[in-house]
Amino acid sequence: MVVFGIDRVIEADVLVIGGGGAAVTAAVAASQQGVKVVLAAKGKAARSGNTVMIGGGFSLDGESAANVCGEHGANLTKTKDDVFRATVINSFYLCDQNVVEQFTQEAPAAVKQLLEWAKNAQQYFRFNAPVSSWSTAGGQLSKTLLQALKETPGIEKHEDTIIVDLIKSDGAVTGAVGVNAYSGEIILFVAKAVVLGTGGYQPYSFRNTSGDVTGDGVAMAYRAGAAIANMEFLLFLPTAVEPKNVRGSVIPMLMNMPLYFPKKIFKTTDCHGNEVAIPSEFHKIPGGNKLTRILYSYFLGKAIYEGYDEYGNCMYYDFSNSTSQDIEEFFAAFKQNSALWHRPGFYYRVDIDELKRYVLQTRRLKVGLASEYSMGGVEIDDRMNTSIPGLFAAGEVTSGLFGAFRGGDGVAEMLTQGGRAGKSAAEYVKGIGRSLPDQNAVRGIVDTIIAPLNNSGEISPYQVRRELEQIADRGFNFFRNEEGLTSALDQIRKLSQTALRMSTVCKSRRYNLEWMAALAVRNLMICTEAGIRAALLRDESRGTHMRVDKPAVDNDRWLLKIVATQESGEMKFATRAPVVTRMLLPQGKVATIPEYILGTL
Amino acid sequence: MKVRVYRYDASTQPVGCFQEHDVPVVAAERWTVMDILDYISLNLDSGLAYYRHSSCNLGSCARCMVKVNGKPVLACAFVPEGDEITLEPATGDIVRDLVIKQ
Repeated sequence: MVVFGIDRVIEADVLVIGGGGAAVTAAVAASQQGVKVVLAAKGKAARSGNTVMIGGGFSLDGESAANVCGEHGANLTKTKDDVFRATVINSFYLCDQNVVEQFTQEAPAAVKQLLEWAKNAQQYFRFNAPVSSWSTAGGQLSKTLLQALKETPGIEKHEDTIIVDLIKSDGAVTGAVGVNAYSGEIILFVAKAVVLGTGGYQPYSFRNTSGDVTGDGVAMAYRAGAAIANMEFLLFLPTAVEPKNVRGSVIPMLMNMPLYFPKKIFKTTDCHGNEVAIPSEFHKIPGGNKLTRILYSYFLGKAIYEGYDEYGNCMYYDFSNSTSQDIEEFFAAFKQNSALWHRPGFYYRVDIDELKRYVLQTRRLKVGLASEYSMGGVEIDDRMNTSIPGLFAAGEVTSGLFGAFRGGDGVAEMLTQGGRAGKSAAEYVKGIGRSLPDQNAVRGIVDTIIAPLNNSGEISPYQVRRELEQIADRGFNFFRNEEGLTSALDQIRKLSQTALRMSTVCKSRRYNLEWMAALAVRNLMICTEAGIRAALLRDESRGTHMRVDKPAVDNDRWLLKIVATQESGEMKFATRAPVVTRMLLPQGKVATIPEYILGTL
Repeated sequence: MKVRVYRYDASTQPVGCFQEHDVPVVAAERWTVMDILDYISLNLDSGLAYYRHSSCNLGSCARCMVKVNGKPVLACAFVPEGDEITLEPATGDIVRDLVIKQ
């Protein structure tokens, strides 16, 4: 097959796109059904995306942990129904309950499979019996997923391959076009079905995730005509700002969790030294309840928001009232706990003793709020079908499971949905033939890919990315209002026009980072525009979407998902009620998000 | 900090050379090699190639290895000291600039 501008053609039954847990489990599940699977990962398979950065773990209902996974002492009082209820309530009722049903029913087998791979890879996840959860770090999970790939030799891997767009024939997705990061070769993938396991989006300048969380799969699906939803919901966590070699670490989040730091010895202050705190009535929320994460944004975020113009995304953990011995013990306990998952003395790249010395010397830590997970993404059903035939999706790229707030485990999500998506795609391809791609569609994608190399001019993709981040920082952060969102929308529309003229300084195709940035920012722009516009439409507060001008959770008007699709090149919005299987949607208004959270206890 | 960076491109710069940049590193802020490379890339020379796509920047994926003053380190975790450093690719199997085949 000779196609204009294409250096190589790869054929598959199922093309899986992504480098983390959702993509790997989808590829394995599809391959186990006997179809030809190609896995295209932006980095190394099982070692890219946010899977390698996981800081917590995953959990199940107690009965499944005991009976399916054989963990002794699992807390049997935590039932499947409890997991279902917690996921729905924590989603502020904006999840699709059929997707939650699939999650609670199929997670046990997915976790069991993971534990088997882990055992074969000599990885050990510590089981915490009272909450039926397993602790893991990204490195362990990565080795476990590599084991899964090793045990499934039929999967053909194409690594360091950046998929740019999907191809359709007669309304169904039949492949994709991508670029190899090292060689710059443009590759056409011809497939019968495609699974997206490409992760979420994160448009801010300050981050605690991989810099690559650019919503590629969401934007590709959108451009192919798939519906995307819940894009206004992004989850923020306290994250280190300084020192720079700790910047982006979620250690400040862990400092609030007794599991890691048993004794709390600091107070949180704004940039003027005034204390900010989560009010005492919330202290009764159990440590394992993930809703406390919203409280960090809500109460601590105020300290940042009110001084944002002057200080940016900044607050402090103040250790000035702690003795040196307190600080020594504080970090010694963390070092001990962290060593259960990380190399001794370190939490990821952070040298714990060095951080301790920094805190001993400065008596404070500069902290901000950074986004770690996007609840929004591609619309799916309980079989991981998207709204267009031949396209399936799993993990953070989707939007069905967690609604307005991820109150369940992202790891369990990616495993459970990945396995299901792989099976569904394999079933779909049986009995259908491979379609030859439409040459004009391929040519259009190739033109888009090489445009930044052919363009000349002053608009650097880095500059566009930086402006996009500034727009999101200013108008689309953890607190929002109509004025800021309107201005952000206006700016992003202008930036989208500017971005058409992006041009790289270096014209080489070999490992051209600026070129890669151009391909990514195009996706991030779509996701961010969808998020801003949904946040403007949603004139209430819900989950992680906190409108300072509309603080109430308005169940009467807004128990609706905001869905975006592309029609004739325009982004169109519609709303739909979430799918209900057994928990009826609540009515009435709750004055604020913290009040909603108290009401869930 | 004076930063000397190795540049190489088989098609346009087939004989490797060093480029020198002044980077406003503040010692107390503990800049990593990745911070320095990002600074050069975003402010001084956007054509520089260093391992950054799909990087974790947390010392976990271990793909950003470069040589600092001849010693291989992870760019995202290593904090260089002194007034001058030299950055080179970790092996001789160079794709472009500091990026090696892996």
